[in-house]
Amino acid sequence: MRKRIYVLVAVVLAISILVPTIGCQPQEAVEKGKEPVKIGFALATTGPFSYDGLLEAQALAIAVERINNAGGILGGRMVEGVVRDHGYVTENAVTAVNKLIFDDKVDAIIGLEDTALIWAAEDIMHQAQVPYVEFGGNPPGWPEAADVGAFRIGFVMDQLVSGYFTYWVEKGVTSMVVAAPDTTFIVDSYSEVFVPFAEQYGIELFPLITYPVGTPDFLPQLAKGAAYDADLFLGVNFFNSEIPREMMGMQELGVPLYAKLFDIPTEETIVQVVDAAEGVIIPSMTAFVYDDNPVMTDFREAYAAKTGLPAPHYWTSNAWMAFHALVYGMEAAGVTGKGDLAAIDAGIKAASWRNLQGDPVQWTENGAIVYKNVILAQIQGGKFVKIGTIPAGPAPPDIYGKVLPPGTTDVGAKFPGE
Amino acid sequence: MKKYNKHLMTYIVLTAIAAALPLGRDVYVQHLLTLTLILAIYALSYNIIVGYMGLFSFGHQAFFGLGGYTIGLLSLGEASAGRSALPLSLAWPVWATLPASLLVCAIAGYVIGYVSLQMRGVYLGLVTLGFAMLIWMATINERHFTGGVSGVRGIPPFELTLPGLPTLELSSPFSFYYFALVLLVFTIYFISRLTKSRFGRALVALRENEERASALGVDAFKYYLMAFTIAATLAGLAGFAYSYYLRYITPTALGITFLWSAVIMVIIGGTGTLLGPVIGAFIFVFVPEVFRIAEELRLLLFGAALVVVIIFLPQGIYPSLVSLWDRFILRRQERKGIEGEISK
Amino acid sequence: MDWALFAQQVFYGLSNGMAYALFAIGLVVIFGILGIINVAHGEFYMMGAMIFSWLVAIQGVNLVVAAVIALAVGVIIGILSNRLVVQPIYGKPSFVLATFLATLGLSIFLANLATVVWGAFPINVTTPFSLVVRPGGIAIAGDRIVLFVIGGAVLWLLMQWMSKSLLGKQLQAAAQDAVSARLVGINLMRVYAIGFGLASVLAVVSGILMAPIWTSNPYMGPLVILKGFIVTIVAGMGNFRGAIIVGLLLGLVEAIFGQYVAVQYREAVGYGVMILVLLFKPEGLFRR
Repeated sequence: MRKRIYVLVAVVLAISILVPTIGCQPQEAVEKGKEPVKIGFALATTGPFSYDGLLEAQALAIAVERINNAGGILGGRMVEGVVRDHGYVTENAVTAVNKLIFDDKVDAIIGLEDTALIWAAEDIMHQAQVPYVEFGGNPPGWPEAADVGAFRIGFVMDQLVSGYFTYWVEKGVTSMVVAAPDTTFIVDSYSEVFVPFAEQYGIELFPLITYPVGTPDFLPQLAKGAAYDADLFLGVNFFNSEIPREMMGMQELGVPLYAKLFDIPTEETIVQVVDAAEGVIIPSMTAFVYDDNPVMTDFREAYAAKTGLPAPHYWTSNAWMAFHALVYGMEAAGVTGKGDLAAIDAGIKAASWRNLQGDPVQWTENGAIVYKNVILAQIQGGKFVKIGTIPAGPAPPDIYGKVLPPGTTDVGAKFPGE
Repeated sequence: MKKYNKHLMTYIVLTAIAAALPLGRDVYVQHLLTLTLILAIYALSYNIIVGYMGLFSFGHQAFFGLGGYTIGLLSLGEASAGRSALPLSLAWPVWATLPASLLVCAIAGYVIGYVSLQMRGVYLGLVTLGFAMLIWMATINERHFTGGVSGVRGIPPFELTLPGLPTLELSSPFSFYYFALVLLVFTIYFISRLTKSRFGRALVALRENEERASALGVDAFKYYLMAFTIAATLAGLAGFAYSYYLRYITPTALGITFLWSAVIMVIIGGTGTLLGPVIGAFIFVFVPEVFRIAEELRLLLFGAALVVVIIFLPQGIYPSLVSLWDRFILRRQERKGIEGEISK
Repeated sequence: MDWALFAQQVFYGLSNGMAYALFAIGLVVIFGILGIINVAHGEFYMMGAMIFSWLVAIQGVNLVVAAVIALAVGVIIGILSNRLVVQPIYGKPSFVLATFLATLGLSIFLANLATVVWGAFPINVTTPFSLVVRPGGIAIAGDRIVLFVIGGAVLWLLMQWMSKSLLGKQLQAAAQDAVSARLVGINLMRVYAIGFGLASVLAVVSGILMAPIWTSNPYMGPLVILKGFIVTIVAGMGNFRGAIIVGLLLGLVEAIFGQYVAVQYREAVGYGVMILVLLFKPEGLFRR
């Protein structure tokens, strides 16, 4: 009984000491105009996606260090990165963003790499007049033209799919199975992008939106997809936990022609499934780590110089690019952009750093920096080999915001034979 | 009567302290506090089942999510066009969505309770879990109706217009905090009246000894069903507040993580008490934030903390605090008694 | 009707079901004997798979040695969990909820510990059995055959041990009726400890057998724990033979339902059956 009292006292003490310290960051007195520019990184550093989040945090730390060694930005102000974990959970994203804006008092935010996360938190950032750069997932049609101060670095689904369909139509493909997990942005992309494109190109589409993220037992579903005997079996999957298994499953089932959308497979992933991955074609516009564009060359060199390792997969390189777009935008604007979104908007668009405006990237009308071309790579001998570049084609007119009637071709549609 | 006044005073003081908490703090802390109050309502509703009825339910998250989803689907209006994948534009005002969401949860609670309350123990827990998982699955898959995994986006801000009064608009965590506080005070008042009523006494009698209470003529099923429905409705109230606060709802809100959070809040705080779940909600929200000093380890530390607390305080924190306080008082009275005898 | 496809689905369904059965039988042991729900059972399974995969794929350790090490570590984790987390609360008022929460905390702790130690990147392990043969157009993977053979052997041994040895009989008696078991002089605390150890061994075995078929990552536990609950309930409390049958059936029904009815609702079947069984036959399908 006595022991219990001590414990209780300890718990109460711990709570009473720790809780008031929440939200009280020590404010150091710094010379005016020399205070650091704080940039918040809202990443998943815990949970199943911490694999991505921790690599992104590492790359961002390297970028921060390099900028500071070169004398900082905005007339000698140092850059300070603050990492906050959202664990890929909507509610936690709101909390992390609140913490970054109101407690850490950051000048800008990078991260929130999923549709649900950015949707949950964007109003807070917008109201607080904090510019933000999203670099991962793919909220369809985001940002909207009216979202001043909101940016996306990476790829735009319609352009990727457009270039991709062009390629396969040329190869004579007329039917396609699309196998994908029911993650937010994939399902949205599927119904809002794939279906219109398939209609435009006259491709018969078998949707196989099946496995929840991380589900281990999706081979029965792959078997179902394989049974349709489509010309092409397309795995739309971006979780490192599933890609090796999906590739091996397709090989196990003897699917003759299969491909992957998104370039997530790192060489690390490929090595795991080297036989199964052999010959798989992967289209990409997403900062292809192995591509020879200036931004990626810069990233590879800086990363190797610091860690001695090859550069990680594309989320990390996108984070790298997001960071540089932001700080060089600040430099061009002459302000951090906090409280003045129009200035940072113009600044980022005017920044001339390393081809952010030239080839291979371009601006969309809405404020996304995207890749111009679809790069096709094939896995040969456990390595990515670039086999072609296709310029993105025109998108069908009403590609976003189109809500399809139930049934027919949308997600959850009845499969032939059900 | 005197005792009642004493309790009333305690609650007034506690409410005043709660009302003062967000003053002068930054929006981050205000956000955490608002979240705490909303989750506290949810925890209190779960406590009716676990604490007062003494039964298991592992499906409570469904009612929380249903409440939130009802708001999401009914409140979307023209202004949300383009922000939502759903073709809905009902644009119901708050005074209509609130009763609607409570009604949906009450009906769902009644139906699920009616079907499953013949079960006891872990079996009841698992059958309710089964229902909750079915609702979760339908929410994810029927995306034309629910928005699917993307959830419902673009819920308008909480805006209440009553005739003769200025429009009440809650668009910041600070203003929403006081609304949530009103809801929480109402919930606590409601539950305290409920437990003191004949109905509440019957529930406690059932919890202590169901066979004896039944033998004395208490219709166990009827009482359980009633209490289960009330708990579901209150969870819907929490979901209502949650949905209007975040203005975005995803299937997570009726997924298994919200079962874990309910269990953690109620058991850590203390089952069968009025303040226990509130303390539990506070711990559930704030402790992981405290552990942000080690960002990557915070969940590891949180898991370990849960185990340690439950081992040393298996009844929860609040009852242990109470017994500590009682012992303190008792000892002082004993000492006084001894001193009194000596002075004689 | 495409019979090859049907056979393919049956094969996948049964092999997934074998994994469910192996996994669930540990839950049945704990649930039957102690009457508690061990939420961390999925994390024991994860630990087995992760240790095995890490040793084989990254450290290059021999398969058998890796399996033995994974088993040893798994048993130690199981025994420690019982001793440090479950025993201190066991038997106190409302211990069912308290152990539910304690094992939930343990599962959060273990999953995050594994992330800190190994990272969240999934480990894929290839064994000498990772081959595919295609008799009649049906893809039969060697690793799934291994799962059937070793899994079946483990389950058979377990059933033999349960029905033949004294300790096994005591375990079964305690699982079916703890009060009577105590009356006939069975040392329940000892039985509880052995039951917990046995359950963690079974979780680790299923983890090891599944590692070459599914990939291993620190968050694989919660994906199977709910299936474990379904099997436990549908089979009936403390019914080991029933759990094996129900586990196999669950995998089979999911695959067939996904192929021929609605792929996105295949998991709903399990929950639906669980609810129906609880409503109409609450003692389980196989209760003697």
